[in-house]
Amino acid sequence: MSDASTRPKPSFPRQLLRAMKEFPPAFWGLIAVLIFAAFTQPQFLSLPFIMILLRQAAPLGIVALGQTFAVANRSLDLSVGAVIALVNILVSDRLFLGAPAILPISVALVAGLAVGLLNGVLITALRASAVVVTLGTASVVTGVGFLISGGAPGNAMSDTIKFLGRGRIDMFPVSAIFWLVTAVLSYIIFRKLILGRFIMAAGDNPSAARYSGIPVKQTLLLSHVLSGFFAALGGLLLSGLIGVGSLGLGADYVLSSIAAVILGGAIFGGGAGGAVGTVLGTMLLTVILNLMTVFGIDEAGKLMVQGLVIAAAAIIYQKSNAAR
Amino acid sequence: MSDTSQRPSFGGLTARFRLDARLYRQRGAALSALTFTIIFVVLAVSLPENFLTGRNFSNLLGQLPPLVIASLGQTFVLLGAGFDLSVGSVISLTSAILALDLHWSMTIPLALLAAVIVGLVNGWGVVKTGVHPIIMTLATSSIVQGLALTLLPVPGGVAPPPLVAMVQGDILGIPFGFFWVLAVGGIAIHLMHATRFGAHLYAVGANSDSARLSGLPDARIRIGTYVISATCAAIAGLYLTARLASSDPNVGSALGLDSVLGAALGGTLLSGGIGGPIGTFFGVGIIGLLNNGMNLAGISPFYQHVVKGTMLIISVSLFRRKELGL
Repeated sequence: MSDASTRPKPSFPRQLLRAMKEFPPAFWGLIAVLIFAAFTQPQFLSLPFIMILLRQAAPLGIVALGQTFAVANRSLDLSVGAVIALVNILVSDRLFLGAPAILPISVALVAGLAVGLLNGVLITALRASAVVVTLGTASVVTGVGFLISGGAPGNAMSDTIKFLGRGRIDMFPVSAIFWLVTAVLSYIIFRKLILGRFIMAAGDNPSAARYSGIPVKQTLLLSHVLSGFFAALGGLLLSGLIGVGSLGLGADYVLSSIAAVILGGAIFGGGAGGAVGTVLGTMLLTVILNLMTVFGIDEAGKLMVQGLVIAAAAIIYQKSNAAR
Repeated sequence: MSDTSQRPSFGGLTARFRLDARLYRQRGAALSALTFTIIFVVLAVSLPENFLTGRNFSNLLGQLPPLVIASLGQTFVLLGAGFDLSVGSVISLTSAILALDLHWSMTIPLALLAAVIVGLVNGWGVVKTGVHPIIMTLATSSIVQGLALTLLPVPGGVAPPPLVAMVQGDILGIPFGFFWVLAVGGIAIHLMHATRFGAHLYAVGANSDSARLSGLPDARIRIGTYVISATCAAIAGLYLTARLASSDPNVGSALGLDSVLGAALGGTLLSGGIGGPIGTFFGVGIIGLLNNGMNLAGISPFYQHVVKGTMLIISVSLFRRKELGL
């Protein structure tokens, strides 16, 4: 792959074919699903409905972008669901009744940063398995959330947060703007900043990265901090969308965020993936789940389809990668 | 291929090395046995009138078997450097299958068959296609949980009477659950420490590539661990359903994580090749004692999440790994 410059330049169709092979599974999936939707449920492609879908997808989209950093760095963040739950409990706590909205928002974001930092420190300093560490912190964070809420989450969410979660500017949902901003930010980190290269290098081959002098530990730490922060931001928007405190919010976001990342073309085990792929993956997942609702498929069916989609995407991508 | 134990030893060196290797693999078990003893003594001293009662012990012995059995299965997968997140869902699926409108002589084999299929799919996905075990088992976990909820949307149904008779009851004050653990644990220890499969599993878990290059059936062994794990989960599901006397499609949801916790607390490394079923007994025992102690001391269940998470982190931090990340 590296000596591409010495080989004769391939013809244009072949180049296009090769570029298309690089597209994440979500791209083809999205096209297929949208064509299917156009024939069976044409209202899916109307502008108002797309806006509703965007608003609904934004929290997951942001959480999944954070997850992309962890996965690309050969790690995993299973604590995103617990962070969402904690953020939801924090911003709806009676403590913040009457306080300016910036206060609960900052507390929530700092909580996300703190959990991400804790994950990162435990994973790098103790060299413990990321799966187990984030499962452990998820359990701790869930417990802390329960303790703060006393088992009965508050209902005192500021209108600003509700606006962030469900408001619109003209027709465009505010939360989708946040999604767009975080996606651009992630794209810049992955493609333009040195941090992105470090993440990819450390994810692809950790020992090679270490021998080349890449600060592998600090990179991994930052990946988890980013994941924690993005999870908190996603949790904030989701809380605004729901509008009330609720125990156990976001539990399904762990699976969904990983699904979106895998569909976006990240190979589990690191070294691939990116912002665009994850955005496409989130869209595909959201469209599939909504189509299923339209066709009257219940939660059980959605669980099965989600699992099948993850397995299929992972297996297909792994096979095509092994062939190369 | 000859049995390794039949090889001549070179001046006792091989035997010596083998003993050392065996002790090295079990070092975690000793530590968790010590922790178990300390917690036991602390509870016995601080809560004598609640903890040291026959009723509490028979309660504990009735409660713990599903987790012990599921954890033993998880131990095999972890030793082969794998990871099985689908344990909880398989337990739930077993419970849901038992509620089907069929005779128990059909549902019980059906539940076990379903588990074997899940194990084979997990193993195939991980070993043959190279998907990461966490992703593969997360996906199957989701599918299996969906299946369980489709078969049985809400808790209900009557557990098979013969199964209930095999679970609820005791001999001389010892609950039947103890004998379930004895049976499954005996098979697990035998498999791990007295068969060729067990010896090969340690080799595969320590270094899959060199094991394969040495001619071990690496793929078959690793797929086998997933089948064992799923079968153990199904047995845990049978027990749990009979203990509750009715089915619940979400009954296993908490046990998936706890099965990893039990094995990890028992000194089995998540990177494979180190640990074993003996430690798992103590690991699950620690979880059981801590839950029991916190309940008896009247500590809010909310704290139990915090304690469980902290224990999980501590248990995996005890032995440093070389790898960073996953």
